[in-house]
Amino acid sequence: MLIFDLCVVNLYKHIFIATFCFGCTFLKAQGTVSDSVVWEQMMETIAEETVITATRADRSLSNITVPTSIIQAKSIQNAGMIKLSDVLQEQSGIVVTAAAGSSAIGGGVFGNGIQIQGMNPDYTLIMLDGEPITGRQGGVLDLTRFAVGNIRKVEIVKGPSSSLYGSEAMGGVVNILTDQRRQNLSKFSLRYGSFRTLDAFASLNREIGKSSLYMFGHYNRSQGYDLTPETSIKTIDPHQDFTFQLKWTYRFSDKTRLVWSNRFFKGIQKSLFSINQESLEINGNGTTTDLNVNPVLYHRWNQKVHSTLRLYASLYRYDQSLLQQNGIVYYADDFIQQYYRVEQQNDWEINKNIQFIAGAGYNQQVVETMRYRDAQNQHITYVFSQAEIKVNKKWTIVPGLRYDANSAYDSRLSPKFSTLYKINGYSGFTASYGGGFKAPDFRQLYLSYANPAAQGYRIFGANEFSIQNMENELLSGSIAQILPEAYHITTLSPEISHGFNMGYNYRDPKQKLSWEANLFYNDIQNLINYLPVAIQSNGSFVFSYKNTKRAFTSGLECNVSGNIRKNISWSAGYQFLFTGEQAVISAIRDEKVFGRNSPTGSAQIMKLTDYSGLLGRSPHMANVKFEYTFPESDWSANVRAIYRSRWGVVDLDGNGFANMDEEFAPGFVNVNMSVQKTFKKMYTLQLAVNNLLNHMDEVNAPNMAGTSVMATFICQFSNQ
Amino acid sequence: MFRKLLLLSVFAGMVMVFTTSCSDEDSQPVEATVDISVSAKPTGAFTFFNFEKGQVVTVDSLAKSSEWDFGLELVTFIVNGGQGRAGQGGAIILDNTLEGVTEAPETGYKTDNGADTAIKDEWYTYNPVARTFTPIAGKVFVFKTAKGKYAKMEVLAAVPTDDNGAVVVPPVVPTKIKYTIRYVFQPDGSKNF
Repeated sequence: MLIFDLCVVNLYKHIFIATFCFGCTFLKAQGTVSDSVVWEQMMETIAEETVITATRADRSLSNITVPTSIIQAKSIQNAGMIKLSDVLQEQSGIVVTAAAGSSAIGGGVFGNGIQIQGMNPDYTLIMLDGEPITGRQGGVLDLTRFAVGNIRKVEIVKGPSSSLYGSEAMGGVVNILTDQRRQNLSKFSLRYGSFRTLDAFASLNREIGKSSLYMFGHYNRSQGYDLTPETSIKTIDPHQDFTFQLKWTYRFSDKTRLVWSNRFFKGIQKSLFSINQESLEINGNGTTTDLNVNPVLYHRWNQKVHSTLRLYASLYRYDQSLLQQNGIVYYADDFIQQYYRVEQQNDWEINKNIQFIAGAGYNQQVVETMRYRDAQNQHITYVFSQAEIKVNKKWTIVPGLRYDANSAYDSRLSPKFSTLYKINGYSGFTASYGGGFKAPDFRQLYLSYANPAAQGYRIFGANEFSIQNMENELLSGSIAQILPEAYHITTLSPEISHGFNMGYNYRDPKQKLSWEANLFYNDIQNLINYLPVAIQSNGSFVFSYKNTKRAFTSGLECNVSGNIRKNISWSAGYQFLFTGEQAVISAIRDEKVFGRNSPTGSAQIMKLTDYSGLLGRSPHMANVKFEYTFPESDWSANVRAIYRSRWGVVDLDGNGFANMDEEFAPGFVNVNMSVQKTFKKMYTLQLAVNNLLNHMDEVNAPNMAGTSVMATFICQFSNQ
Repeated sequence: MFRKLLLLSVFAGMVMVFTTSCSDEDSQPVEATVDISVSAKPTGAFTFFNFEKGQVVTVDSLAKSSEWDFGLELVTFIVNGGQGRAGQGGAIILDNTLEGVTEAPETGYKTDNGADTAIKDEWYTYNPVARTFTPIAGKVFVFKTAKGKYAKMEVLAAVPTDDNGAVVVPPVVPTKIKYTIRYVFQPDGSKNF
């Protein structure tokens, strides 16, 4: 846990004397500004990055057996980024998915999620200080909800980690770790830029006796933007949000410590647009409220055993009300999700070579929305364990297992086995197998929704769908036809995956050229899809959910980084992705799959070269980053370029994949840069330009505004 | 000898003329691509198509007329054969390209019998978000017409429109759907396309 405390400092580079950290923690307890900067620089050269998310225990990156990456606060600040989604979109192998933030029915609710290893946002677990974040809309957790000013670092573990974290940890886990340091440090940041964006935050660290206090307040507002001014609907609506975080650490003794974190977020999105050929104006607000309370108690029983007790309560609410100009409600929903969790974990160092963790937890969730018949309640009980075994000096194996039992769908056992073979101090091979799962979400189970439009469709969760009701409606005439699939709607099973990762990494001790490569393959089964089950007499469909498909994502991710002389650091990343459905591929081999070459063309037999895999996946993604620092004059500048090749967005010929040009979104290059200068070691001025090439695509990338400019002033000082 | 040869050549010529005229007039299949605009509301107001005439026809009585080969409304196809139908029609859907079907199947034609219709929902997909129908590529409809002849057909496109034929996009509710179909009709009554 001492290492844990220590790592609040922005560690940017790595070397290999982790043990040195212990002493430094106490050296650092108090200090002046220049001390702190000197200390930070010192730490950059002596401390190694550590990761907690990969094993639920703090471990140095070079001992991690699974593909992991870390984004430090410093690189977030240097890039001049405001939202977590901005930060993640520049990472190798990560795609920020986009849905318009506009206000058409349910609009904006899908927000900006992330795709890891080619898996949809639904399949990535997002955690804040180790606790799952709730409030997914349409399966997507909107990452624009998270400010970055309070982030110490973001850890990203790729591949399934359900053996540690349960549902959703299938494509990967993103753990946002917030700040807290044992020093008196205050920070203030003010930013203004394009689209009347105003962003301000202030944070305060205080040491008071046995307590450490961290306070963070953030305000952001923007008037949004419109990539298609000719339509009445804005691409991104005007919005403002506010975050407040209060974290209190109390050290009862050297052995016992309580960390109590509270976070409150409120965001308001203003919508104004017109429908029915601009004849009817719609106006209203969407309000997001997010409250998290998270006390965690750490206790060290002796040198070898320590325990953690985590309590977590979270409330997420999205209240949207859209009115027509005549006062009639056009669309309204009030989505409330409550999540409560208690979890206990024990870490036991059995001997020098075996570290063991075991834990258990219970969580309860209640979801209410106008789209469900009643408030829906779910509880899950789980146990997990993991051992880290050093077979010899070079070889480590990490087996793990978790069991989730619940009230609403099939229970699940998730195993994981990972291993690391160190060739020498600088390089090693990793390999892992993990079972992942994603529980059917509330909407797949409980949705009971009728689209209010005149010819609206209806959609029912699998637990809400009743064939008897359909048959009654067939008799009464409101249903015209029941489709055969209706008779196959049953209890849903969790979606499951088997993920394999194999990697090699080389960390150059001189930091001239480090590189890593990871091959991955995820086989995903029982995918839940909606499908039509009946035709209403108004011509629209009734839908429900069913476990249907099997798919895979596979690929190769490579990262290279290094330094050119002393003042230029650079990195480059590339991901090749190949995804698809096994059944489709074998059908193509059998010449049973057809498609058109143009939207109204005649059907042709599809070849394997026509197959582009799952929609929304780019086969090639790359990024290149350069950072120049001139320490003598306190100047620094960086340029980052991200490339994403074209990806399928729509299926126009019914074969389920994109094969004609009209079915693809164009690829793009996004270039961002920033320049900054620090004065008197306390004040930083920054100018950032995003999307230099002015790439705009309202339909496929509404989250990318045109070229925008931001100016930032940051003030950081320590006071006694 | 010369006369025999002359007779033979005249006879051969006649045969040639006869066979060519035969194939010219009857056995050459007719291929066409046409647009049909149909109602987007399932009220029973079908639009009827006649392959022999190659166009939409008006029908006074669905049940008594043999002038139509298929009827279409929204995504519902009816055929002129089965319970309450006057014709000898039927249909079968094959997974193939239109060119790939060189011969109509011998058997397997389904007819409409109440709720058990010949053509169900296997030929299209529906996207509830975009609210668009997508005809699935590679679904070939082989029709037996009301008069017992054969036609093969593929649906190339289905575009939602308003009453004037202007394309509409959600949330505007379409009143019509404009289908583009491509078909090959064999007028000689054989199964060869």
